[in-house]
Amino acid sequence: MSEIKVDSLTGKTSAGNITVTSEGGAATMQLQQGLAKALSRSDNSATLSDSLNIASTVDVTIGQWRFNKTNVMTNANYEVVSSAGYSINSFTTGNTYNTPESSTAHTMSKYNQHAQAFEDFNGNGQGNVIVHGDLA
Amino acid sequence: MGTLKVDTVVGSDGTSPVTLTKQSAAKGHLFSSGATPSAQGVSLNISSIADTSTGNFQISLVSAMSDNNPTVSVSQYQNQAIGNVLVYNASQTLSSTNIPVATYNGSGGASDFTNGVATVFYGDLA
Repeated sequence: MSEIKVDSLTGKTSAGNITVTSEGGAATMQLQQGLAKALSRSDNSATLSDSLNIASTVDVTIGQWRFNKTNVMTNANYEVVSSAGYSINSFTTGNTYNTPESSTAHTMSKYNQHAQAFEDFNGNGQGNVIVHGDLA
Repeated sequence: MGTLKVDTVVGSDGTSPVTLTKQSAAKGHLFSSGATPSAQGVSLNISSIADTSTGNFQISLVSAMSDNNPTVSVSQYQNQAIGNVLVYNASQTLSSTNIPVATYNGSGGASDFTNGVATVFYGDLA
């Protein structure tokens, strides 16, 4: 096995473009495009227990939290996915959804489809948010 | 274009991971399906799946995370009666080595998602 020891990887032709070969060897893709650009795991008051590239959080209103990024995205069109953890009541029939507001900020909202209303997490509820797309 | 052929890339100290500046790679993923969930296709960093009860299963990791708070995303495949899937619920505990998943039908009752559930998780490995 060959091994390279290095602290940083930078593309030669284009600094932000390193090509890697697929597991099956039939394709190549850009390494950077497969990496998450922001992560957060937060509670009812938007307090973070795990994060990447999150500068600050805001408890906007009932059932909605805003996450401001340290390093911004190239534009406001990027992918935000989320999942909830733990809720003892109505969230078993609820959903989370996400809005990329700008290159800097995105929100996660929690909606109770039974009550037709936004709501906070119950008890030890947590929101998990993952951002993919291009950094500026 | 420069091409470097190598099997493994590590930090210059020989053990640390290479810094992916401002970015993070997924530390594991799984697509499972069935009333007794089992892995379908390729998975990453998954050692086993335990069917703990109706609508509840637990994923065990090969390599542990650094703490009990990995960032986890779960999604259902195809419409499972307008149900919902949670990373975990009141009777389960997320940890550095186990990721519990809870699935519910449209009435909020525990229900197996036979069509499948996709799980992806991020964070630091131990």
